[in-house]
Amino acid sequence: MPAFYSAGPLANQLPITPPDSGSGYGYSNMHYAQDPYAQQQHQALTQSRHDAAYDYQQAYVQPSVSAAPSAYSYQQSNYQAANSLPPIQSYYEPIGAPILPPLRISDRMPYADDYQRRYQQEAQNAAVAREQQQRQAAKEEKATGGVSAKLDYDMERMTDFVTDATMTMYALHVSPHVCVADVDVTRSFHHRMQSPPSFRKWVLQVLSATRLPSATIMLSLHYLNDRVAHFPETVSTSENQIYRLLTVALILGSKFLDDNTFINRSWSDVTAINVQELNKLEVKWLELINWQLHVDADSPSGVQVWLHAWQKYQVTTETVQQQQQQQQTRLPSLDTSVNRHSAHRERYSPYPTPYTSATSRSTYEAPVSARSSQYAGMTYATEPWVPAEPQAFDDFYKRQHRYPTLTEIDDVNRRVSEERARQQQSYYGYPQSAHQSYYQAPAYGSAWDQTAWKTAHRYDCSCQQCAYAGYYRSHPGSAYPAQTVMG
Amino acid sequence: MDKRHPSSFQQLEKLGEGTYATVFKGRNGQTGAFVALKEIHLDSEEGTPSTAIREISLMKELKHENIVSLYDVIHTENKLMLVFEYMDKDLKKYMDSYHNPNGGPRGALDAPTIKSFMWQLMKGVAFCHDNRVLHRDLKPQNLLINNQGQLKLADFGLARAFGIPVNTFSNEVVTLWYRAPDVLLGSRTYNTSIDIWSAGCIMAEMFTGRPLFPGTTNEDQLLKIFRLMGTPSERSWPGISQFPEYKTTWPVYATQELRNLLPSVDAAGLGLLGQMLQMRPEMRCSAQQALQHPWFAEFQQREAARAGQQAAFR
Repeated sequence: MPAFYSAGPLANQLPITPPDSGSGYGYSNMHYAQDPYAQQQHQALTQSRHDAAYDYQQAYVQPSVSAAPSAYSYQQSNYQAANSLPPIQSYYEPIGAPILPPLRISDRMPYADDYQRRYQQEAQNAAVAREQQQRQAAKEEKATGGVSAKLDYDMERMTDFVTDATMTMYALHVSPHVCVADVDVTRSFHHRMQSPPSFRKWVLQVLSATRLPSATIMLSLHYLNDRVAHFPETVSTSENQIYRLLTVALILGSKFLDDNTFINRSWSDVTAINVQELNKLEVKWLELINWQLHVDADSPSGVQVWLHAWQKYQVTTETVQQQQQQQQTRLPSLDTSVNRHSAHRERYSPYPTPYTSATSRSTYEAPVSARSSQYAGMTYATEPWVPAEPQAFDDFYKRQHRYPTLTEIDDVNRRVSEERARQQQSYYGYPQSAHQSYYQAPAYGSAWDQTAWKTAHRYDCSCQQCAYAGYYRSHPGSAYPAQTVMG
Repeated sequence: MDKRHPSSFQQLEKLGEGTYATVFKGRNGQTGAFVALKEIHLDSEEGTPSTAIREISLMKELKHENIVSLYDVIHTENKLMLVFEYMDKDLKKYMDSYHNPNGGPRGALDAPTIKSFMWQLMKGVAFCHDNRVLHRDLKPQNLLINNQGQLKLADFGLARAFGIPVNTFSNEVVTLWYRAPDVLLGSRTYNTSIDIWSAGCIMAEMFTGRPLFPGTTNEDQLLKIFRLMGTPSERSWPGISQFPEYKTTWPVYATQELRNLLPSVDAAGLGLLGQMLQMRPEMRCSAQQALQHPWFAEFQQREAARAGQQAAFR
């Protein structure tokens, strides 16, 4: 039985949250103009993602694809560079957001403050957050606010879960071919619809500040799913909407289930959504569902689905984490990145596929904390391999289509296939020989792995072509002995 | 006229005032029927109060003859108006104004009335628990009585759904006098048994006309309970020393007989009361078990007869 079912006496000694007291960790300067800010940050992030994507491609993809001896030294140096980068954690800050109780309203900045000041404010927040995190690490869960003094989950993992679940619901909602009501979202979102890091960051901030119990969060996700599934016409497809809907779902879940609740002003402070708007959305939602928040806890299609999905998610990610740690000590990182690419093809698909296939693939996916947030920016490098999808699920991603045009790709693609078809024949006799190192024609020694972008085969596809590709992929090290021999 | 507009109800005298709402007597402009109007002020900083969210969402589900009906929710700019079934008075006022024809202490009710009220109370509580709702604020003021002698549960502002396992139960629940010892000791893992303790306190109060444990503070409340039930120890209550409010300095009281305190109650009634007023929550009877108690034999028979009639009609 999970520890949280029976609260220890400890929980009792901690103070009840004063939702509107204290004067804060810098949230007082939180800006309320969402759109301009979102836009700006968006661009900033897009820009940095560009760069990250480039690095990623250079550092990881290339060496993994082309093992041609001639290019080896060049790649080697690149690989070194990647290795010597500072630790992952330093890339994306706020690992821990300030915790409620948030601030009072007096010194809030005007709506249209300048970006520079905001940037400084954010840096300051991050510094406060880091400091606080250190303090917390030292003092193991010191109760500074939020609903639960002692959390029954890992904050990063919960953030991943909530982000994935929400983005999946949103993607399904936006997709014209899928009715969310027909889909068990918890079974499809393991495919990890790629979400903008800004959204994940925001989710982490909200969850860290409120420290809601996991049951409350699951109930909120159920409300959100229910809303999107049964009242799709009331959910606008604009991307801003998902922030608002998730916030109000959490407010309703918390107000219904928790004994200590926040006023909407506090929610406004942590979500940066105007309190008047939250009030309106809250009432609208309540009237829409006719105030039916008391859901059947035992119903197999209700909140239980989410509670189970969360349990499962925890188990899965834990195993993945362990496997990853093991792998990291044994294998070069080159190997995993190749497999990730084929998996990404699916990530972008708004269509649910059976949950079972996710388990094997997720081995390479690492939906874990700092690591995944680092990759969050990087995975966009795979975008060029994704054929332009008519319903790429929001314009944000469309902007990422910036690499060679489809005709260019097709061209390279065709040449590689021809080359391959020719060489393939000579292969069958010597599957493990050093000839493999010649296989990748140096002329095409680019990052474009043709199996990844030309064919839309699933990772677990069992067709002959994939079996072949998989076979040859699974011996990435074979090129190196060959090189040694020759060198 | 729009039925959902507040002005479709004529507002009459004020019936009561709570921390977050004011209750008026009202009259439906169309039908002339009385209603109770609960007005909840909406604060722009708070949004919809969680008490209102719970009360409305839970009472919309709990349709039972021993639970006050919520007819409608009218939402305006700055207030929320809940339209409830009208009840004449609450049990507290009923007891205050009651004159027992057979004499007895002031405020005490006669035995048949008590049995009827207790039956209805346990019916309502059982329905809540079956629907996974804890009332958490049972007290005479929250039990409403109408002129037909019906008793109904009201005020679900502190109520809470318990189907989903959560670790943040507050122990700041239930008016002090009706608060169970495990909650007083700081438990946050309580369950339906806290409502049963409250019901036991109410039953005793109806017999004597006075609250059973009128404590002034958390500590005083515990000592008043111990004085009657005996001071608990690890032997009588294994695990009690783990409670946050456990003290080794409690005076040691011996267990008293309920019979001495309530001489007018028959043996069966004392038996039921003893099952409800168990110190250890796991020893308390459930609402369904209380309804099966021999003390309610006549009501059980009447109910069985009614069920038989209904079956015959079908």
